[in-house]
Amino acid sequence: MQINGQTKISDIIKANKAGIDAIVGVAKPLERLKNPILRKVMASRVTLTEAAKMGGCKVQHLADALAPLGFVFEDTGAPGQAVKQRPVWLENVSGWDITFFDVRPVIENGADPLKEILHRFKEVDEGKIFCIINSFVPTPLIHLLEQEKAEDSFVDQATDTAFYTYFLKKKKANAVAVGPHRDKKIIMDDEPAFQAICANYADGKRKEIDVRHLEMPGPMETILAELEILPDNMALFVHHKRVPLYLLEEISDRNIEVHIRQIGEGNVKMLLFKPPK
Amino acid sequence: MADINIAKAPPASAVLPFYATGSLAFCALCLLLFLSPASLTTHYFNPHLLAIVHTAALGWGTMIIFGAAHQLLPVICQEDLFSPGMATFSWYTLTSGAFLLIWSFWNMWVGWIMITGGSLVILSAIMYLINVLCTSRICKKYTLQKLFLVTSGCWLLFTTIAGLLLAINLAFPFFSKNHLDILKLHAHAGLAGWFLQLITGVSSKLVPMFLLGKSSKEQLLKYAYALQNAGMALFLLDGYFMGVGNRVIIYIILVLTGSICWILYLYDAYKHRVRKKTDTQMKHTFISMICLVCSFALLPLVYYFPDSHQWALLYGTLLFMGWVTGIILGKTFKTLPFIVWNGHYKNLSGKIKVPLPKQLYNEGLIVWQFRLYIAALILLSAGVITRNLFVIRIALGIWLAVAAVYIYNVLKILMHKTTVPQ
Repeated sequence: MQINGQTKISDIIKANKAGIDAIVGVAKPLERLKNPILRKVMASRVTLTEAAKMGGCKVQHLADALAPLGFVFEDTGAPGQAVKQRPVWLENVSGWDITFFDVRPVIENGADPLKEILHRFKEVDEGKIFCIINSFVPTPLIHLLEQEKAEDSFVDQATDTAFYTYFLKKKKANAVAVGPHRDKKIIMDDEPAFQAICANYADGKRKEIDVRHLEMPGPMETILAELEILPDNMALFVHHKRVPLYLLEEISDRNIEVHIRQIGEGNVKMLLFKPPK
Repeated sequence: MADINIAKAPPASAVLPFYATGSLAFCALCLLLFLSPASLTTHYFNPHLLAIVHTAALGWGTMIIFGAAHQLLPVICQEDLFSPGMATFSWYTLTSGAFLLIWSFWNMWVGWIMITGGSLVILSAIMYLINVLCTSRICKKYTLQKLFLVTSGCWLLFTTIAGLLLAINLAFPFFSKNHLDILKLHAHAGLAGWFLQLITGVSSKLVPMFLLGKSSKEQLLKYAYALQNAGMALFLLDGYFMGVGNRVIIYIILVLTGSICWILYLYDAYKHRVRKKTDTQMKHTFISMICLVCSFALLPLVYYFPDSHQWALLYGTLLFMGWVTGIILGKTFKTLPFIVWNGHYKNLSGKIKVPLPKQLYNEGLIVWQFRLYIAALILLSAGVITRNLFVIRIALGIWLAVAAVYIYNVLKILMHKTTVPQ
């Protein structure tokens, strides 16, 4: 198997289980990989380069240890991570304005901190900074948060075993707008407007559900479950008995646009989708 | 296949006047308490406290419950409200009846004004009960929640009749029994019959709905119903024929066990909930449940130390200011904004961006309402236990602030103007 600095430990283990012992043998700090729970948490998140940093050794040492098992190391050089300048939003910020979360003890205990991280990040105010302290660069987390929730991130290596990853929490898309109608996209349409918006999501691009026969809270449960699995480019078309206000409040902090067409008493059509960027 | 019967929302006149009057009554309640803090340090049978308790029970608790029930009955029963006219009529009788009653208690005018007030309140209880019975059509389509609603309506009627008899007895004594003993029966028919069972029934339907959590332990609610009613009925029969005696502990345990079954049911729904966010409105409910449990725990003290009035007063404080008030302070903002929203926006169309119900009031103030409510409740309880007038006064000052914050938000919702941006 070809490996390089960016190869995940989990891929190596998958290819050959003996890879664990080879890696662990190189440096003492890597011994935690022997613990199956820790391994589960870390292996899929740590690359060979990062493992070397954690172990305080060179990547080449790991490559040498893995070579007898049939792993061929290709030195691709630095993984293109030019040293990033400290961003402006992190300048002149006092420690009080940053929410820190040291996940190292959590990981040491064999637990997966992802859920707690997401929970804490949710609590952070918009435009404020959240900092994860970890023993490696949490690359997947950075990708995950930057997709939607974080404006930007910055990694600061304080010591060999302490990486400070800062996230700047996104402000709501149109928080700049004023008046009582900012941050929401709930639109009561008339027939032509509703038809027009539906036309954007023709048959193949929309999923249709009918929740009229369900007893409450069945409609809300069904719609929430459908929204969970709805692909980004698709819309959900709902036949409903009434305008589902509790649902609208529930999804108000998500980036979902809702078009409502009240045809008559007991007959409401809705189209829900993520607005195209 | 479930039926697709759609219940229409009742007209605003069957709902909104109750909310407006109820929130004004809450302000009046806090004001009356503030004007008469000393009534919380003496025996509970005093004119001011009678006026205050009836402001809490009728003007505040029952008033808001009537409004909310007229709105929720169609939701719970999947039927149109039987008679919106009767609902509106019950507002007139309840408001005027409660006003006359409270006014005459405050001044201790026993006689026809008090009796007229009591009669009007009975009339509104009858209207309400008819509406509940006919909307629920309980005989045709039975659910346990409907049974709680109907039974609690019956208890309300019973309570108001007993109350009227007490009012008559004050002016024209005719009871062979001790007036204060009958008063205990009247009070508990109201608390454990009307409030407790109504709240049990409505919450066992709404809490799972709000939390999106189902409980499969419906059996618990059956036990709750049987135990609460058995406890109450036995208490009344025994109390009336033999006088309130040592056996009261048995009845307390019955009602308590019933309530625990209900709370376990809610807890089960909470455990299985889909919505993980707990909002401030739900936190109000949580504190109010703690108050209910505490007041049960106080009952033995109330019974065995009748000469220390503070236990009875603390019991009443926790039930009215903690339990009933706590639930209403939270649930108002789970119902009222939605009702008003429907009135303003449901039928709009034409590419119009609309606000959310929660944008009809100031959400930040709800958090402050919650903090002030807890502070006021704790201080008031401390003041009542220690009979410290100074602490009671401060607590009542905070209660006024709670009332101000609450009514500001309620009025903001009620006076909402349809806003349609260009």
